[in-house]
Amino acid sequence: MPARDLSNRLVFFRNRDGAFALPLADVLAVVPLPKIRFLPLLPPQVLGMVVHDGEALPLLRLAAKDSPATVSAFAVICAVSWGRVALSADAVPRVPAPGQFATPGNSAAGENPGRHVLYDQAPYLLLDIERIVAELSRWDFRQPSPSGNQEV
Amino acid sequence: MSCSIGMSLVFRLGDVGFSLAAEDLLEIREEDPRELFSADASAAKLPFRDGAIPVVDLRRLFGVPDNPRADRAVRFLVLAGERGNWATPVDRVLGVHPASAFTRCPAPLLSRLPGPRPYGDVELWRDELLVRCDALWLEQCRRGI
Repeated sequence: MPARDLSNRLVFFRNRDGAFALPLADVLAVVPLPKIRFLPLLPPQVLGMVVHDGEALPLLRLAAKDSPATVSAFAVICAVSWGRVALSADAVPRVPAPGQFATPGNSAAGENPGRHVLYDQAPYLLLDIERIVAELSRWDFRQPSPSGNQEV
Repeated sequence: MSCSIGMSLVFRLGDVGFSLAAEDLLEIREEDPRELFSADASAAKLPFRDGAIPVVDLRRLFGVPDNPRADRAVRFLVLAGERGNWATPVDRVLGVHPASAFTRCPAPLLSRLPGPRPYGDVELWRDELLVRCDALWLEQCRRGI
């Protein structure tokens, strides 16, 4: 049986920071949200660390400012060039058929970072995980202490 | 040979847990920090044996929020450094435990962050993620980074 082409599939989920979509090819696993652990001197984009498969992964914050807390039940584990990162999801993410969502102006999901995808009549921000994690390596911990990674 | 080889001290600053090699620990003291930090915190000294040793604020180095109970007597770890001994206040000491109590936990993110940083490794102890410290590296950090 030929392998299915997943390149145009997206994963949709919501969390405290909003509604998001990302390419299915970037997702390694969806697991119950592990305990969130706090470490000092992490970038503000990191909400905390979660331990998955014996490795401490950063749980990314997807909003620039603190959002009202919601109870996230799942973690979406994503592959990046140097390892893995986690995103929180309030419910099991959805993976609709390509015809059920629209990426305005472009059919290739990976080519319109920062844009929204319409699914179920709601806009979802299309995430570029590599761009987000690239920001992490530019953060200097000697800057004033961030409000991030202190509490959920 | 010291029986502390392979053992690690676990302590806490605020909500953050830390571990370091027990071989680096000389003594745990309880002092009133008001007497030590009253004038100039950067010049604080702790009486130790026949002299006085510098006090390093790891809370500041790691950006851990201030302890609201800072006016109470706190424990000081006296650590061996390359240029002499030094001391640091901690909120709680959670004991000295054998290496078997700790599980190394890779954290690739930490090696991607700009450095040098006060720590680069973490480990699991009793389901808690601890910051792994190295006394000599911390001694360098307090001087330069």
